[in-house]
Amino acid sequence: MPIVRFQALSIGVEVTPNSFNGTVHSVFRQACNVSLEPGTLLTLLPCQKGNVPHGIRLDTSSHSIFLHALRVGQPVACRGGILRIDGTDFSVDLRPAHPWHIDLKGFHIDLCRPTHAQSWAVAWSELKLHHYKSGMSENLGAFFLLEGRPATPAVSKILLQQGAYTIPSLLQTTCRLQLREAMISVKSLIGLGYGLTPSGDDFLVGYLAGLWCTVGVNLSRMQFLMALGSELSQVSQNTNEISCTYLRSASKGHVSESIAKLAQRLNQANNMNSIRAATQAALQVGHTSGSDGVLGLLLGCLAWQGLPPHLIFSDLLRLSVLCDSTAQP
Amino acid sequence: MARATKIIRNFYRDSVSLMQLSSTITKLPGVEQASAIMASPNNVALLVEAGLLAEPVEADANDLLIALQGNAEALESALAAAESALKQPSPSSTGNEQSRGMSPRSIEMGLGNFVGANLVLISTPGEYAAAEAFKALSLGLNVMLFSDNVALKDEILLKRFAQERDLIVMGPDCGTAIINGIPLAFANVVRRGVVGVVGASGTGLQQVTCLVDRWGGGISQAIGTGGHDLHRDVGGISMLQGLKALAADPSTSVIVLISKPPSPEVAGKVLEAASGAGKAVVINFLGADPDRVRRENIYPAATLEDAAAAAVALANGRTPEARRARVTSLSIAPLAPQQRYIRGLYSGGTFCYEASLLLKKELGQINSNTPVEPEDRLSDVWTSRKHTVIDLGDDLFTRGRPHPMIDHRLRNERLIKEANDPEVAVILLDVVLGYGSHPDPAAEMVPVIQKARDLASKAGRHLAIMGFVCGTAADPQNLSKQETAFQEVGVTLAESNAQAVRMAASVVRKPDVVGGRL
Repeated sequence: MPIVRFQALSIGVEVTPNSFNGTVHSVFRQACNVSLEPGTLLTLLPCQKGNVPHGIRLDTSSHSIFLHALRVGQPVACRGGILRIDGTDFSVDLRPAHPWHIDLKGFHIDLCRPTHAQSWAVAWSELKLHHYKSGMSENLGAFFLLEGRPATPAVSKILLQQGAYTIPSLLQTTCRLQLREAMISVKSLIGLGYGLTPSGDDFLVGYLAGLWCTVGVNLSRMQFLMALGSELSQVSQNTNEISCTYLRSASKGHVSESIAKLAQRLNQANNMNSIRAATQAALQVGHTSGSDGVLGLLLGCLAWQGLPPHLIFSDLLRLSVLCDSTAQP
Repeated sequence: MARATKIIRNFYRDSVSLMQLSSTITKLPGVEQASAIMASPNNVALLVEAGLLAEPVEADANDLLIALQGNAEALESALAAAESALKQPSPSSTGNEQSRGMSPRSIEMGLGNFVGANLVLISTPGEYAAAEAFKALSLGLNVMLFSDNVALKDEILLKRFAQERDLIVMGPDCGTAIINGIPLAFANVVRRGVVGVVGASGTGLQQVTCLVDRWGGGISQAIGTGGHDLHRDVGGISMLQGLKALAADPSTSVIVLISKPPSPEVAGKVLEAASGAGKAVVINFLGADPDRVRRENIYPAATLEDAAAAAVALANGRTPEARRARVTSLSIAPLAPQQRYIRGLYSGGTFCYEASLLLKKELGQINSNTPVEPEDRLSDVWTSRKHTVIDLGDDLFTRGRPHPMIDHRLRNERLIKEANDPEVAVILLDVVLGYGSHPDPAAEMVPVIQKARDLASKAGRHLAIMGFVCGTAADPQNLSKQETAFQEVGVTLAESNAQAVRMAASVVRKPDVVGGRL
């Protein structure tokens, strides 16, 4: 077995790098999840992947390093800043790593301010454009697949269809600080869809990010948001462990780099090209995760505005109809 | 008079640093007035009101704004000097964060760098402070909220949130604390010991902790609560939390509580908790009837000085004795017949309030900007009337200016004004040492005191100047050096505010013996 000793480049805010035990939970081509305690995962990532709150980025871009070196169930231990995987020569030195954290709670996106409203509109247009293009590409999916280039999917259809009523209600109850009612919507979205991170979960992660970015200095909203996060964390066990980890992080205002960077650009609101670029980058993540997350983020930013639900509903419906009209026969 | 402004975008310094910078710039030649602030809407409005800005500027709370007034030719170099000072590394950007190559940009990142930290000091413009405090509390951290201008409803929400988690919010507007021997914000370097203090008053805490130190005792913890804590709607939550913490603290054997008199229901809760603390508790509710405070294990104290003395006695296993008001034997020059009044020029709000209380008992009406009775409020705070004591740290005087503990200019101007008043017999001063305060108050005040005395002398009057230095031997300003400097220009110093006030009262109360020994 090759000796695989890495240095960590960055460590997410949720990782305590000193001392912990765990087991290898799942191994993918570009990620390895380590289970630390029920519902808590730590993710090892190659350097080309974006940071995640519970992640450690390594100084390697090597593909398949995890698949070659690691097996599910292997014990993992971290002592004195060195992470080792039992029975292997795989180790990671966490000591030189920089902490990674984009503090959404420090943002003050205020859609009443023209610059922020304009930034939001630019990102929303990008999302719709992406959805439109993706829809078109689904018709050409076979061609792209033949070419070895999978089509980029759009916002999950299941999210748009089943969330078309739920999401406006979630925004409305959020704005009214109605925790119990908001949780009814949350519960119907958790675990909705398929894959490692179901669409409903991706949406909620983005949605929480949007709320954190816009909560500002209003303590009543902040209190509501913390309570929402706390309750959401409780029910997040209804989805899979990977998704649950993202949801629990988001409930504390911690999200993946792609969403956090888009939020950062929206907050800065000083360069529309950088907002477009950040939106596009976020949309590219995963199968539909990126677009579901961006949808959540942008609607989360809207939530405190108290827009009439029918406006949100109609826009979601338009996206949904577009999804249907361009779907493969 | 010209004005100049400079906006430094996305640049932050905390308010204590900015007050010190403002004070430094103000002393530059040709500068009449200077203020460096974070450009939150409230702060900008204050500068407009203070005349430093003609109109609001295009800046927000992330930007640092320097506003100057003075001679046109001096302002450019003053702005450059201010910018240069700001380029020096922030005092906070040291230690672990530098070694890791990244400054924390959030409380969470800071917590990552200081594992085990359990307290956050928040000093941001008031409109952002409550949200930061809320974030800190949600991370399980206690909070010292130095910022003021936090809405009462937010204070209540924060304190209830903290209480549910067995945490404490010190503040808002909490300027003083000593935690585990570390002075925070405006606080003194005191010996460690068994006396724990909880106070709704910053200078009250400073006075008690300094006197305990001066009289051989030591401080376990000094916990500030902010001035509104004992308000009926807040309910004394932080004082109760502080009391609970000190009751459970094995290194604390005597507890001192300091506040203006709370509402009856809050007082009831505090007294009940104090009597159940299982430790001796000294209570100084300034101006309250001691008999209403007295309980088993509770020792009422009429003044801050009495509270400190009682705490030291209890710490040494003695029962506190009723202290007789002490008046040092004075030898002063004759006063002119028309010299009848005291003018107290205070930088500490609680000192001013305590002076009002004590003088009122002795002399009747005491005019003030922060009076004991509403009818004693000065209609024009810039002009004294008969017996007057002024809190120069009041918002009225600090709009667009640093606090008088940092910048003595306003008090010095007032001192000269009072010295020119032929009816003034005594000028009463406090001098506060410790971290946060001016590095050398004597250097700022002594020349002006000398000038004041000279002015009076030329007019054929002797001006009595009395006061006290609130500080300790270990404070960075050097207590003995400061005291000596004041004494050398004829300032009569007492050990405490209460003693200084009584000395002043004795001078004006007995005009028939002026000129002799009292």
